[in-house]
Amino acid sequence: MYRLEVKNITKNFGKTTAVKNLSFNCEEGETITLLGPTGAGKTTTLRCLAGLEELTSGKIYLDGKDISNIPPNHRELAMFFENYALYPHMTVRENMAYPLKAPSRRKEFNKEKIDKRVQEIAELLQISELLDRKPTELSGGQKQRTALGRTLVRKPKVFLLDEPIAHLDAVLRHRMRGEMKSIFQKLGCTVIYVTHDYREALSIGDRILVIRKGELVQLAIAEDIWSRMNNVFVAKLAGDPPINIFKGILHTEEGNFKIELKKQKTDIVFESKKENLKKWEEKEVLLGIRPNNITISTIKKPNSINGTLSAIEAMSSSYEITVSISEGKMIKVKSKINFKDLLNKPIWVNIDSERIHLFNCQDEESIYHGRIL
Amino acid sequence: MQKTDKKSKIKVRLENVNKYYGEKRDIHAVKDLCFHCRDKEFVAILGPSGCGKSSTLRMLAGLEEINSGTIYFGDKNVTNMPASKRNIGLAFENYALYPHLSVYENIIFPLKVKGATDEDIKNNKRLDELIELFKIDKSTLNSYPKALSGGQAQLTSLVRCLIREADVYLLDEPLSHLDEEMRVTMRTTLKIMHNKMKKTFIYVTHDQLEAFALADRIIIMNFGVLQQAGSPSEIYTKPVNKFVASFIGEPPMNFLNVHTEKGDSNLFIHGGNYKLSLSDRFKNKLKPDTKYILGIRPERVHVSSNKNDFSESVMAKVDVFENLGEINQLTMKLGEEIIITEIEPNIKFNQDAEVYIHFDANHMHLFDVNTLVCLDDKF
Repeated sequence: MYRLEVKNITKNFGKTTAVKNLSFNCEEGETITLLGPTGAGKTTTLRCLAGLEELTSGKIYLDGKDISNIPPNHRELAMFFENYALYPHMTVRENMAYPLKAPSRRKEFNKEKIDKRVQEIAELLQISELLDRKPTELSGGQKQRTALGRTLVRKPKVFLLDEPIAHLDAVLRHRMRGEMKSIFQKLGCTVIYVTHDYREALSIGDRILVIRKGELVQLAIAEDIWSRMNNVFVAKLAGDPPINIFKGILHTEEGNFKIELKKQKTDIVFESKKENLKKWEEKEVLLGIRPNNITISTIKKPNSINGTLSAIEAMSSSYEITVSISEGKMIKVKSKINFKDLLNKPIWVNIDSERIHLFNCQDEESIYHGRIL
Repeated sequence: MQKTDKKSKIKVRLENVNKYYGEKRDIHAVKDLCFHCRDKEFVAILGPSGCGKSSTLRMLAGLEEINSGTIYFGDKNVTNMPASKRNIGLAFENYALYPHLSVYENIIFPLKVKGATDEDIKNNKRLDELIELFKIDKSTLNSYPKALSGGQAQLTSLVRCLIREADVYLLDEPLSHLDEEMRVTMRTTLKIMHNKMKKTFIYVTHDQLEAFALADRIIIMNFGVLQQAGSPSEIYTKPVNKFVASFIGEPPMNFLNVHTEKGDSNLFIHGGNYKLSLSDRFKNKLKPDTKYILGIRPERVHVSSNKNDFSESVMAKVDVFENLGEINQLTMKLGEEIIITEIEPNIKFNQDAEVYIHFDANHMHLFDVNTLVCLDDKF
């Protein structure tokens, strides 16, 4: 039995379909991240799970029990929204204890139990010293933790989190990402977590559910989302700078495969034992290569495209290099070397043909993955 | 990126510039600021909000009076010169587009002011190129600014700035209203334009990634005071104080509380008496019985489950393992201290696993616990 079972749920708003026939299961203690661009239906899905939106069709089961028509307050789910609202007149302790003081919980939680639970969660969130402060005396991160604490005290069966750290500044977001993952693991929480940030999704999720226009595109572990993506959409969603995509024709040549990039006047040659690749012979395919699997040289090498090195952008410990090739197209390269002296000069970009991905040109579905990692 | 040719001439220079605000002049927004930009250089002024970076840019533009000090453009003292005479291109966060002019009229305004005829404008190649590169939607050219989204308005303002033939371009957070994807694309576009135009750019931002990506040199400010001026790699590898060290880098630098003991100049990490191996530059030069802050970048922390992989190491516990696709990230606990490192994507660790950490001794930084100044040069 699954902790949460979502079966063919659909949610229409008038004529628009926000969630379309979505199904997935979530094990107890598992964290699933919902990843997709703005408007993909992530938040609507979460609101359906919480019972804040009525389903147009489909079923939701919690521990095997159909909860599709149960009102939100009886679902044993806890939802955390991005715009946390703490009660300004209450201390951190009072804010955190608030959900436990509901009349329906009076039997379960007496004052002693409430104190103990708040203390326990506060320690985990490292806000024990702040329990007697008011929200106005807290920093952004401390407020965020308090709000998270208020959700965590409840011990619900499933936590639903909607972009909980999206509006924090970069440094804090970075720290909270790791902390949240650690807290979920320690408490053994079952979590559905919505985000548009691929790093957050890969990091926090035991599995990642990629959603586009209300439909499931891929549900897989981080490694597969990164290296065995189902289609171009997933490939582009994860990666910064995003994967480079070229159009070409697949040929076989002396036992090897070759992709002819007509516009770039180059052939990319690679070996593969995958027999089913043969059926794509002489067909148009899309070649995907990540910026960190491309190198730069001043001389022509096999599997290279010529271009002009048009920008170098420093990152913390690497460089993001933009190369202009034919017809105004740009290639992004990630490199440990600066290549400052080659700026505005003609160069070659060398594609590591062992690490390419191929997609069907028509529906952009994946047909081949090169060496993983 | 322009070559930082030491001989190229100085284009903009600030000498002891001060700015006060408030009725009693009690807010000292910019304090004794001195820095320069060379010809064709891209300089970013970086700092948190309220650090004085925008005030500095406005003083350079002549939009804000300076209370004391001097500003030179080349050899010319422009301290009291009005903005209109400084031959500068300006783009601000809040667009400042003319509401009664169409998008197109706004863009060509600087050309018109200089007396360009319709024929000149038609033949202006840069105009088409800028409209194309900065993705100004052709269908919006005849609409008025109020019809634009924040992002579109900002790009219009940026194009209007770059169309001018100016000596110096002053830009204040010109990409801040774009969505993330567009901001990254336009950042690259701006960098390409700078390479093509070969002009001096001064760019204000609070975003370290943006400053790093764009600038030949970065000026870091905090509380109105210049903290450090240098190339991105200088700032990254040789921060002058803990503020600069912590402000730059993602994931951020690790900081550990360390100390030396009496009659011993080896370093120990607080709380666990972990002894650290030190590079020769620190050896025998540390004061005994003294506290320091040790800083080390995540990529300079090496991890293994096998103790024998390192000559010297300390044991830590894995707190969080994160798969980030291209790279994996590990958060570890060493006593009370938290240490973050990046590891290759094919290496995995479980939570609570015991691992051995080796700090790359050549890339440790030591900071004074009181002044937070980096002590590296003292050793």
